[in-house]
Amino acid sequence: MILLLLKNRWRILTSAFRGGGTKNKRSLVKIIGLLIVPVLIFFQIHNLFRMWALNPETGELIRHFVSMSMFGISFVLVFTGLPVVLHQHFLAEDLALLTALPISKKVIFQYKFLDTCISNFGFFFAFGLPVIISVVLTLNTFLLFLLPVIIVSILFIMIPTGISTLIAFLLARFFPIKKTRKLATLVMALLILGGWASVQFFHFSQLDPVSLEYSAEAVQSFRAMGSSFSGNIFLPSNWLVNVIFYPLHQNSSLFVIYSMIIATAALIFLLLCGELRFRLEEKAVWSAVSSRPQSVSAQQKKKLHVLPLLPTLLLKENRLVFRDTRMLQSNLIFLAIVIVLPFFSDNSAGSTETLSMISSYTPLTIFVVLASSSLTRLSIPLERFSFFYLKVAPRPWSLFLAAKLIRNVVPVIIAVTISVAVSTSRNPISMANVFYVLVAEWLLAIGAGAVGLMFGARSAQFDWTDPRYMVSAGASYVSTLAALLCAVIGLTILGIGLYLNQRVIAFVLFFVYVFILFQIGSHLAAKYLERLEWIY
Amino acid sequence: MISIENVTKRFGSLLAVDHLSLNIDRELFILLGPNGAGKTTTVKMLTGLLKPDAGQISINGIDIIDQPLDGKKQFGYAPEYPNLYDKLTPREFIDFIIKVYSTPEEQGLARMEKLFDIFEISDRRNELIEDLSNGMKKKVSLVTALVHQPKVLVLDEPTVALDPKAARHLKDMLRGLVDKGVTVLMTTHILEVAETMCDRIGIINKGQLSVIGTLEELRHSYGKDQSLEDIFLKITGETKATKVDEFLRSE
Repeated sequence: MILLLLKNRWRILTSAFRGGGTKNKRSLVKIIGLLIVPVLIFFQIHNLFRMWALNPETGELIRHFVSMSMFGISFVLVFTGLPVVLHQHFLAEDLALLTALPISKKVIFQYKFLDTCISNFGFFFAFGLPVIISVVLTLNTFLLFLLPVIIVSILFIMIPTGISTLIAFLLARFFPIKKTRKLATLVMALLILGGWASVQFFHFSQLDPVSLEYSAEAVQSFRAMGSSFSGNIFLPSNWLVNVIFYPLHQNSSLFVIYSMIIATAALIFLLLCGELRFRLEEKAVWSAVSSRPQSVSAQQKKKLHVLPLLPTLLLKENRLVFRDTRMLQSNLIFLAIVIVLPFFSDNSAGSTETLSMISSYTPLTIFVVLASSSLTRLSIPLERFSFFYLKVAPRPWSLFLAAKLIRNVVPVIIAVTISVAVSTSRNPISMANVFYVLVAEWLLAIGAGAVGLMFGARSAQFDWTDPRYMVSAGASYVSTLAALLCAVIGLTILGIGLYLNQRVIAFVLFFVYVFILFQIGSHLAAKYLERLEWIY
Repeated sequence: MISIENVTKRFGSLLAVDHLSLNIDRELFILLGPNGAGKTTTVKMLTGLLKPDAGQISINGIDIIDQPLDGKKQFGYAPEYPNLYDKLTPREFIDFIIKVYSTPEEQGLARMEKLFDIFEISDRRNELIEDLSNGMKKKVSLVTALVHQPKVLVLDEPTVALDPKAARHLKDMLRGLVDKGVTVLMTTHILEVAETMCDRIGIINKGQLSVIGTLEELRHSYGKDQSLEDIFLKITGETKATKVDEFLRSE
């Protein structure tokens, strides 16, 4: 029966490829888009591994690196899996249907466990698989060896997912599930941010023997850290490392033993999670799912007040963001990155030349553009099916779009202001230059926001259940590239003006450019929304 | 007043609505039809959610395509599925609607209170909509359509998911509003509702309006003793449940 359920899942996963025509092409574009991150990771890591493999002294670093990567991925999977587990096991829409079918509940919950593993595989595919493939290619092993390693990797994912599931069940036993999921999602956001921050601190180029930044000291400390990881046979991630490095030892029994250990652990987690979830069901943990109705007296305390239209729209936008944990998570991640960026980048802010000073803010500018365009882009499909209320509302689109733009761009503007203030406190620059930088960043945030709105209006998918599908994957990439391109054009105008020592003219032209960008973006967004046929 | 003239809508090769013409004025008009007949498409074109490929639609004399903003002010709309903002409370959502439709504040809030009371939402007004049952969501959706006091109401399956008490309140309210001069267009599959409440009925089949008239007029045409169900089945070509008979014989 579990195979039947998995077959059904497979059909859902591959539904985009059935039916032919543009749907297929879009799915193909989406897959190509999703491959960009793993491919980039692969090239970077493979290059590093090749360099290490050339030197016997650094050869062992490959194993340390793989060991730490697999541990890191497992650790992240445990926490990022929490909201997924809570959703799949307690809140998923298909649960009511599945439990009404003549299928054993234990089987249903085992299937749900496997479904969570499938969700987690995406993360492993993006960050773990490039590492594994790099090892296989660097060690010049038989390429077919990849297949058993991938199969063992899939089984391996069941271990961190299992740990995650056990933690989630424990939390569900004592706390309301929806609130716990929200909290888990925020913890996940913090972890992602922490991971990103640690990568910023840790410069891989220091470990690259051909890099100018190569540091023997960094390699030494990496080796020491790696040794402590690689040696621990109790870490499940090292079981997988032993499987990956099997060809190096030419010891097939080791491969079989560790594969069997992983398979056994996966099976134990599968059975255990199904059983435990079944027992939780018996204890009617469902009661914890829904929130309690408020008492009448609490409601009466809430005063009646109606604000003017624009503040009402802003309030509505704000509520949609703040009450949707995943959207709040995106907001916080973007804003936090913009704020903390000065701590990781070495701004030559002390430079007296405006041009070189402004160009030193390139990483910040990239994130400002990304944050602004992404947040406004997502603000349209965030409405989901209720978007039709805006379509039937007797108000111009410009009003709704203005509310979305203000709601999503103002926090970015505040974040970038804080960021520049932090940066200035670290590397003092003249007030005039601070002003120029801020104006440039603010204007770019607005322009990128308008571009984001345009792509959101054009490519919104209001029937999304997973935030990854709020707009089509192709549109996400094109939108991001378009926003960055617009920023590059704007900065080029600014740069040329500053290079020619025409500061005021440069800023006036830059302002005019952003104004045109804003007009085109918002006009096209309104046009797309007006023309949108509500087929949902 | 709702005026639909020669409206056509295609989805690819599917002709969803085929040269449909209809005039409804200060009456409760019920649009019936089998699944996929074109009822919801008609309603969506009427409300501006879909654009007709041909034809004209006006509400209270205002063309919904040429003057969308003025046209949209004229009606209240409740869709079949109450797709509300899950992350807002009913109270917050109605606030939003009151403002969007420029309803005078005091009037809007007073009307909201009355409607919340009638549909028994008052106790749940500050809970997130996502935590409400389908029936409660439907009630909030109906309050949304009614709160800005429109002269035209477009309701797609309004009684679905409502409990008998709320359905009764809605029927009484719609009848009362029509008596006060409001135009109501609603679709339903519940023929009992159509039989007891409507002034006129239109039956749409394969995108075309097959028949239109009062219940008496339909009975006059199709037989005095015929129920609305019989008439409906005759018009939509399902006079005999032969497939069901065959199925039962094979059991």
